[in-house]
Amino acid sequence: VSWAAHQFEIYAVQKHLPKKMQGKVSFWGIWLGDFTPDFLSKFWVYGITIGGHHYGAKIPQQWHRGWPGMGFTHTLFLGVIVAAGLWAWKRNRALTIGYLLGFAAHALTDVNDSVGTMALFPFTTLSFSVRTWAYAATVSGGKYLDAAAYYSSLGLAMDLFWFCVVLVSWRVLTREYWRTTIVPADPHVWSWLGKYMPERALVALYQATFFYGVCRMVSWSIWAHVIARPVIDGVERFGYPYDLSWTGPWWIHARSLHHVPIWLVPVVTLALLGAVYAVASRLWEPMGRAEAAARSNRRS
Amino acid sequence: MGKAAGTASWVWYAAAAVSYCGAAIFEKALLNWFVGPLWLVAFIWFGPLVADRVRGRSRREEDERDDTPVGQGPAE
Repeated sequence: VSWAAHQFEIYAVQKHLPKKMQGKVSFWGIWLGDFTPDFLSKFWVYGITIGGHHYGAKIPQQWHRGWPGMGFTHTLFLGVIVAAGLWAWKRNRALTIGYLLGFAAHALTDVNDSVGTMALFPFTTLSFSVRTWAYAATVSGGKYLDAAAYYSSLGLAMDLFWFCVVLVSWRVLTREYWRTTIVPADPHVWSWLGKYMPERALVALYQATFFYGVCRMVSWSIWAHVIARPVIDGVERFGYPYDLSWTGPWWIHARSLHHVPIWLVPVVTLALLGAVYAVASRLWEPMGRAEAAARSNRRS
Repeated sequence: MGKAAGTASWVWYAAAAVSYCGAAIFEKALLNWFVGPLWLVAFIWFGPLVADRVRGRSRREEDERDDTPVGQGPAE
């Protein structure tokens, strides 16, 4: 599980598009693509307790990332299918490519926890994981233990890494960038929203995912390390202990699924990332021509 | 003027962040994909409106006090 990293990476993707795509890829497409995997699968991972009865996944990691389960929601296979569906429906290049890139960012970032994702689904259901930190979603611990483990491990480093990537490209968060790069790629959505909201609210809406990521990281970290009083191995502690070792923290059992050898993961992940960018880049002009043709057909 | 407006806008961002983090530390239900982004938008959208209204009202009250002759109460 990655937490605020997913909120930050959409701005990083937006900022680091190939030159020919800058100012032409939909921010909302990237946003939607990046959020789709967890929108579809996360709620049931923690489940809900009503009247003392817990409704939710019996084995969270199997549900979230495995097969059988909802693991296909974290595979490029689904990203490509939905992107193709969006293209067939809307003939909108900005939205389709944005969705694909956002989805890829999410699916490939999640290879870092100890469960990983089925990167080559449906060809294999084996997980690809580099086990950087422990996957800690459990039925009894729920969201709280998961957050505590994440923000005590290299997961925190992952969030901070993406946070710094965005900070280095801080202009991506400015009103100027929003006006010159974000709005032109999504003119219909922003002009529709602009009928109801002033510009300062529109800019805030654009920045809001970053804001949420920062606050989420701060709030959970403070709770886990200042407020919480966990009992670990029979000892009450002031806050959950940090452990920045590989597959940490030590105080929770890192869940996993059947997986490929760890050395294969960076190779396949980087190859898939390169392939997504290459395909998006290769299809960019033909899709632009097809979109223009579809638009002129609609007019005539 | 521009710099003052920029500073004022940062104050609203900071207020949104501090209040959201403060509330969310103790009420985790607030930490979700909808409330978080909406919290910021609400502060940036409505914060200056509310502040202007409060400032306008206190200025009107001040003006009314200034217009009142010494020794007399406000006109009824």
